[in-house]
Amino acid sequence: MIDKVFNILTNPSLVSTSQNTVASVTIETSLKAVGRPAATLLDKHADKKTRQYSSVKELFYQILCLGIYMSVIPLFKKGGFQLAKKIFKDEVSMQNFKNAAEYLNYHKLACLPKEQRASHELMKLIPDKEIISGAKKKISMRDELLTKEKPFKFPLAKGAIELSSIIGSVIGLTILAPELSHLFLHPLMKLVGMNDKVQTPEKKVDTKV
Amino acid sequence: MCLAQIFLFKLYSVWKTLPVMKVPFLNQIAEKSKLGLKGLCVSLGKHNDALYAVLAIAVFKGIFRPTFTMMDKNEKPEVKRYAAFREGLTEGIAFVSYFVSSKVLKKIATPICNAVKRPEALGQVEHSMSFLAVCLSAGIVIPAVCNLTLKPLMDLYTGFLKKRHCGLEEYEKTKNKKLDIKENAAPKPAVSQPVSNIYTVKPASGGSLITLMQNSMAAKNMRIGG
Repeated sequence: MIDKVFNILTNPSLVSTSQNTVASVTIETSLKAVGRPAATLLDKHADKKTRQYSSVKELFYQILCLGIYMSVIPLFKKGGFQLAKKIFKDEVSMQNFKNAAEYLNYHKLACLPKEQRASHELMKLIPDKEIISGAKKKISMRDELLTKEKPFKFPLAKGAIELSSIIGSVIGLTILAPELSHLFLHPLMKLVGMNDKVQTPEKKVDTKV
Repeated sequence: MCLAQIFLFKLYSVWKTLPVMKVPFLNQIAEKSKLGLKGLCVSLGKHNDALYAVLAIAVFKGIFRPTFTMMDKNEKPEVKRYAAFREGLTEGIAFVSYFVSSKVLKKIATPICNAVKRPEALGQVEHSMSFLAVCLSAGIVIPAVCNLTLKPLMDLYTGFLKKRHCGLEEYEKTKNKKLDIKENAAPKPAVSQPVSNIYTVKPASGGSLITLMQNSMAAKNMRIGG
């Protein structure tokens, strides 16, 4: 039993996802899109119509946030990597790769066990060029992946991408997504027949006692 | 226009001649910042964790969302303050939930690695545990904790505001007094008015002050989510 749990926890895909900011935030937001509307529906403090209205609105909001986030984050990844290349001009590890996509393909393969790398479809996208690895020796990028059990992963390049992803996540989810989603939220709510006026009629309260 | 162009050109030529980056002090700051950034990048590259991003998001949401709510000019100050406090509180709960659940699940990593006699895989197991903690918090813990604690905490907050608004003595007097609007109202009021003071009047429709404010916020497009 404990062996199975250990195998799941050390699964390369899970470990790689857990260290990937974009994947973690995407999964987290998807779970929010399920969990929050469900919790709103179960909330006993409000009446049924308000709960239904809030949960549908919450669901749409989280889906819109996810969509906006997914469309914004590649810009931050690419931009962050190019900016890091300019800042760390003298770092050979940054200059080995043309762009973020090239490095991420390399990193994905480097995280896999050695025997799985040669047959992987990403191997076709790896250019046959020389890079300077951790030992400061020139070696072909393909050779680094195919011959070494633990290829050098260039933590500076990976960190630059992760840092720009964190900054992108913060800007995307705290500033852009909430503001942009409100442009689409009300038309969407009307589309599914949930209007504010229908759900929450204005009630007049006599204050003269 | 011409004068402005001459002024801008002069300003640019003066700025170009300034030996800004030749000042040793500024150079030192730039070098130190670069080294710090490099250290941060290398550290993130080696040991990035799902927790870092979600904590950063929770912190900045906790700052920006209440700020945006308070900047909304279409709402009453009381409603804005209530909504901003609620949003800040939700993000506070999210931050604590992420942090605590990650710490708790990471503690389980060591016994698992010891049980299978693979202590070298501790780092991997810890990362996976942290990711699972984030998922668990986002999907179950935060919504559940918010459902359980938000209402009592908001009641406390409205009570505090009421005390401050009406004065302690008046609050103590009116705390347990049930306002029966139907019985005590004038038989035929000349003009029926909407609620003027949200802290002192109980809605005629029944329910709590929170229900009234939630309806009010939903109706007037206040922000949702977190």
